Amino acid sequence: MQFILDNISAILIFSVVAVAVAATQLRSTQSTVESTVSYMSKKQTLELGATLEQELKLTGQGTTNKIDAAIKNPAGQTTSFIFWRNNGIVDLKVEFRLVETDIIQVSGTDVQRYRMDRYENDVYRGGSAPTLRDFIIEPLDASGNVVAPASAVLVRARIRDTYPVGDPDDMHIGYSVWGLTLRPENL
Amino acid sequence: MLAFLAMSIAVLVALNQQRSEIRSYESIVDAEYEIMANAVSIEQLEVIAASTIWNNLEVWDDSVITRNFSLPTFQESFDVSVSVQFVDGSGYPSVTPTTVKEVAVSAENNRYTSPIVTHARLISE
Repeated sequence: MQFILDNISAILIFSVVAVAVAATQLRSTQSTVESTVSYMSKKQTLELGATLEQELKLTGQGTTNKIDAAIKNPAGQTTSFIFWRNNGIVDLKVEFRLVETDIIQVSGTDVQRYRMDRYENDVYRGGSAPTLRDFIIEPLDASGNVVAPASAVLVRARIRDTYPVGDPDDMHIGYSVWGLTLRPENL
Repeated sequence: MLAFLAMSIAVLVALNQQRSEIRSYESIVDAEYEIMANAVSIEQLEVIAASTIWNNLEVWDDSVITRNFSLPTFQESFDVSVSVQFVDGSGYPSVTPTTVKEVAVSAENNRYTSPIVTHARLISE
């Protein structure tokens, strides 16, 4: 007891410093994890974007069919985008179909998330991760206005992916965006 | 004295870590803005290329267009500046008319003091 009383200030200071260092270390680890999650989401978003770009720029290639449909849901998301291209053997009808996956709660607000499924001639052929917040593909005229598929000269695609940030009990959402407007040669 | 020194070091380490974390967040936000600025700039370039014949490209020179990176749950506005000039066969600016024009677009956002991205495209007669 005498020893503790003799060294009370040293013990208190040591405790404060130890807690500060531990908290810093913990936060540093958490920050590293968040950076990694953010990087992975960005990578995933850019990969999906690159896939969309490669595919959309081939719209109408080798076929007289172009864009069949660009359908949106009431929330403004593109739920179905159907276009044609030829793979060198047959005409392919490619569809990007948006599917609701889950609703997460962030600060008391519901956040709907989606998944994009890709179909070739109505057969499932891959898709995105189930973490999309926004997905839009729109046919545009030469002035950049949204038009009916038959009048399209340009195609605009934009996506926004989500990833969790922070503690599970105090989580918020990080977003990763991608967008491109392209002019398919055969439109 | 030693205790004061130890606490000072602990505070400095914590501050440094916080600064590093803020820089990390800022670089993530900067990367997102760069992607959005790229998207609106390229869209403007495509609109110019699709809607304007070569002889009339000058109508875009010195123009500033507000373009939105808009999604159903999110929107950010950018001011896109356009410049058009003649360039020679090597791509250098030419004071005399040539058969090639360079259309350059720069996207700005009020979050930043200078253009975020600039894209240029050479368009032949």
